[in-house]
Amino acid sequence: MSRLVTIALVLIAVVSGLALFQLKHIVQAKDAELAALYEQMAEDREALRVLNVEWDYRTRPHHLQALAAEKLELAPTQPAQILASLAELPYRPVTFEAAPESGEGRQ
Amino acid sequence: MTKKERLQIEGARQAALEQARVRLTIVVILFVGMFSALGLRTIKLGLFEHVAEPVLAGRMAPEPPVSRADILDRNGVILARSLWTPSLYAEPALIDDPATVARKLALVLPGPSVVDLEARFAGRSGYFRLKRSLTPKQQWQINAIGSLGLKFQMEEERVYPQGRLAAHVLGHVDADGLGQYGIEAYLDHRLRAPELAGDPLMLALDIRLQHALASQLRRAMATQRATAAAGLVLDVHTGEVLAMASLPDFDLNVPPAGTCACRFNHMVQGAYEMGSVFKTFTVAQGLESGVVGLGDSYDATRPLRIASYTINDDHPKGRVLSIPEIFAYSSNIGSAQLADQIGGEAQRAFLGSLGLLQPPAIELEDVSDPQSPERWRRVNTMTISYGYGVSVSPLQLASGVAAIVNDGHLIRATLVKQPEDARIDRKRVISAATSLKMRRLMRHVVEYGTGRNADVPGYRVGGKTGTARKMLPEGGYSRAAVLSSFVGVFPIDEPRFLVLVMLDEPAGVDGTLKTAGGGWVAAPVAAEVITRIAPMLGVRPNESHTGPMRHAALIVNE
Repeated sequence: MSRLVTIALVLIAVVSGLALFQLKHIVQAKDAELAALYEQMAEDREALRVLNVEWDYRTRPHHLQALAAEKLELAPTQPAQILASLAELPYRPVTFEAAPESGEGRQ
Repeated sequence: MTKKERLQIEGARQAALEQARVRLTIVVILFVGMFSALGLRTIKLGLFEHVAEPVLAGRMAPEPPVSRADILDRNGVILARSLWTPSLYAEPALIDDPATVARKLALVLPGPSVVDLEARFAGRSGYFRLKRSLTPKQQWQINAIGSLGLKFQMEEERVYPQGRLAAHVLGHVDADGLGQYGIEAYLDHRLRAPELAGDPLMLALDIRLQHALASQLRRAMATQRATAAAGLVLDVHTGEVLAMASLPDFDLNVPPAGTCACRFNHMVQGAYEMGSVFKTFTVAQGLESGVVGLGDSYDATRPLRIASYTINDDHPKGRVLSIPEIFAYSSNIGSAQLADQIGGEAQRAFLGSLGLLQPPAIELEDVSDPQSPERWRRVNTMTISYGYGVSVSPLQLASGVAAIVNDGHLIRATLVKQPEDARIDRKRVISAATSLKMRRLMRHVVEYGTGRNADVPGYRVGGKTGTARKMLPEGGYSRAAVLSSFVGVFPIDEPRFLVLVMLDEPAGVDGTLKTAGGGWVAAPVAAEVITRIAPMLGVRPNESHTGPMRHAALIVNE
């Protein structure tokens, strides 16, 4: 009986020792992975900072205006092109040709 | 049974054995207790106490990678940011073949010549910087030269992606990263504070408005052959400066060394006699103090003689003018008489309450001191009424006019974005009723007076023109050199934004004084600026410009 208990205890000790050893290695690997990730994040963050500056440089209004003047047929919006309200929109005029389409009942 | 027998048999050693057993039990209990404590502690640490995570989380927090905070515009566009870039250093002692290295390096670097580099390598001593902020390609090419004496060091570099835009407001930093000019200098401590390095500084500027203003000013300066041009867009309710431009300007990425006229910010560093724009204050005070009403009039038939001075009108009407006419036709004779009736002491106090006699508090350095006469004589009172005798910076003038139109509250102009719920310090200078009258008068100027060229149909612009003869260094006033300005507010029925345009010594359309006046030179620029910026600011045109032609244009008829 006591021998059985001893064997069991030794077994448990060996197994848990091995498991602990294994766990330590896994944790170390994870730690290295984490450190690499942090490094990557820092690098990416720095790259983002550079890219953001690049973006704002490429979309600077002066440059965009030059591009727009060259490629687009657009000009600054004139006040007459902006509707203050929907009520400003005129109704479609009822012309002679348009009238029959709107329904026979009216005639 | 056998055990008992054995114990009995060895009865003589019973006591000793018993003692050993007790000791053993105590040791076992101690060990069991200690190991259980260890086990429990392990379980507790592993399952219930989060010891490791906060440490890891701390490591996760983004550390500010640079020592100087970003500067953004009000919409988050980057105006200034510090980046890590490689710099090239040379240690000549380690360069084996200076001639070859110099030749190869000159091919990579745009700046120094071969001879230059060779001379520097010939010194054979020291360690010095050859070039700041290399591009990745340059760095690779220099590495390819393969000389031990060429070294890289990462250094912080301040970049300004907008180049020239808002150069005078932003300012720049020196080689050590210290602010040298503009906001960079004024808020240097804030920008360098380690706890705020990751926290960008948001300016009130809107880079789109800044561009619209600067490009219109640049065009006007070229067509008018003016020596300088400057402008400003101000939110009249918060005091935020949405755009501030001064020309000539410079590129912040290559700031000019030493003194350059381009470094002068006309909006805050200059003090000018602004001319007729000052009539806004004279008339406002007249109405506020009850000295005159809108229906009163003054005789402007002939020039006014006071002491040795003669006061003339630039746009003489040769008749009796009512207050709205004096304002609309910018009559010096009329406003001088009005100021005379108000009195010098009261005028000085009123201009003081508008902040025109002290330097303005704005987040910039080298703000000019306004100049006013020490002895405020009767003739001073009269000339000051139409803008001669008191020199102010255009920024101060803008704040003063903003107070006249925004129901009478003087608000400190600021370059830093104010939070939505910010409590803005305001000081009442005139009553809301007077402010309303002034808005109507300013609209009148644009509808019927000297400011007609500033009108933009639909946006209800109101304003006042100014044409100031420039004082000559030898005394007296120039006949040809003028400072033309226009201060406009829109929409005038519900004022939100103020636009100030100023041109220094415009040549005018045909070189005469008359055509170089504010109404001809500065007002059209203001109109162009307003046309461009009003849609960005969300100002809706009203329907005043609708007519049959526009109606017809909107009809869709396929």
